[in-house]
Amino acid sequence: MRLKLIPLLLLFPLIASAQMYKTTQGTVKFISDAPLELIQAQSGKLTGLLNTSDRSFAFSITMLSFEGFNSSLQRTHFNENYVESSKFPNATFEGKIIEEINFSNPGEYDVRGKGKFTIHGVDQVRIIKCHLVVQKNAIIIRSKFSVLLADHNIKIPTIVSKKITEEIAVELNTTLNPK
Amino acid sequence: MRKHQTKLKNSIMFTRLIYLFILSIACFPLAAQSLLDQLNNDNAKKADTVYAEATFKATRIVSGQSVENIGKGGFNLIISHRFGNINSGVHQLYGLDQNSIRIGFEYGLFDRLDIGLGRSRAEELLDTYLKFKLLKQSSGAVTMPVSVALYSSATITPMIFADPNISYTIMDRMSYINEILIARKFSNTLSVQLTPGFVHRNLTETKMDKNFIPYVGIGGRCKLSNHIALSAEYYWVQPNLTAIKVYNPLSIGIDIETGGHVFQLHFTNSKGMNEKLMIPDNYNNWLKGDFGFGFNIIRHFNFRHS
Repeated sequence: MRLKLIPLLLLFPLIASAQMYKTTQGTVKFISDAPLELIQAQSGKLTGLLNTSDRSFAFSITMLSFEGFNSSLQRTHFNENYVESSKFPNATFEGKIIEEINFSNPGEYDVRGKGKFTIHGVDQVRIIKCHLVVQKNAIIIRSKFSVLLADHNIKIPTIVSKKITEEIAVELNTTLNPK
Repeated sequence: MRKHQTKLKNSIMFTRLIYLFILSIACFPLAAQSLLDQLNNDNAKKADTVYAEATFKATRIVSGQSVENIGKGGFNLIISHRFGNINSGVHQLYGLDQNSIRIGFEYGLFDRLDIGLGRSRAEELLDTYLKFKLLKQSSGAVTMPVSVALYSSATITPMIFADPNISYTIMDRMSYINEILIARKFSNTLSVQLTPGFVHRNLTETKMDKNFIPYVGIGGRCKLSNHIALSAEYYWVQPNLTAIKVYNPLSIGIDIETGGHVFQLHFTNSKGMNEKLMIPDNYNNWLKGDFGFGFNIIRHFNFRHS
């Protein structure tokens, strides 16, 4: 009689993960608008998970996936000299949405995500504003924020200081679907 | 009877404990794994191919070619300069009074294919070449231990030959160079390249000079910082193929990269900045002090507008 309960118990983690939303191809674009040079690059390989039951999230992007730049040499320098992609392959943001949201209620919400933001192996606690569009079976996230290179120990040699800004503008756009 | 009841109680307790245990195991993956770990696990299942970037700082190690390509739309202006030998004494300012120069251009037709053109002061030699990246070192979904490039060059000298009474055909003035460049980036700091190749001269000065001269080069670079690297190259040339003994070229230098420029400063016993000049025509012996200072300035431009 009691043995029949066991399969029910085993189902528990499956039920718990049913509120998970996922993306594997979000887009991230960054812009360095310096006095002497405008550099833009984008990637379509942002991955992320959002747990709607406790509003926790995790996003990750491979630095090597950024394309664009003004030349392939510039892309190489980005990976080799600045973000050091072989040592620190991913940029990540892991944390929780501050505001209470009813994810079962379609609509648009302006929220703040608070958590650990990591680039170049250096963590920063950040609060990042996001615009959420909650739909039936999809959550769209749009965000614009900036990253200070000094916060992440990315050093710009003085000789190129007029070609790279200290503050990089980032634009993020992704649609999450139930996992 | 009472004994039996205790036994039953015990067995109920035991079953409950088992339930608790199963429950805790069933919930464990959720509790222990952070969302980021879960995401990383998902991502690891579909690993992409990661190509080794920037095996060398420039398209040359010192005088010889490196496995690097410029990239589609990239354009390099290369000014190379070799001073005289350090042992030439104070009246030549230890070699700084003498110089040899090559001006070259190269362009990335495709990401994997470069075309180049240069002119050396020595022999007024014009050289043209193609460099094609056959294999790219990679890890992840596709694993490739080395990068391999093919380099093929044709040179022509328009200079006036010693005997003006003999007419030379265009073919007599040409030489060819072919190389297979095999390189591996062992770590972020260390890259090594093996370069088997040959020079074929259509016409040589004497009968003792052979047309076909094979050689094997080994080169490498070791990064000292993100912008500075130590580099060296050595070419073993098959001996006894020339009338006058030639010496194996050996060069040691540093690369300094500053965004669009790479400055390569070095000491070398080869005055040639093209394989035709540095392989069969190198009469400088390092051991006798026949080496001098030299530099390459590589300026990168880009004509692709995105």
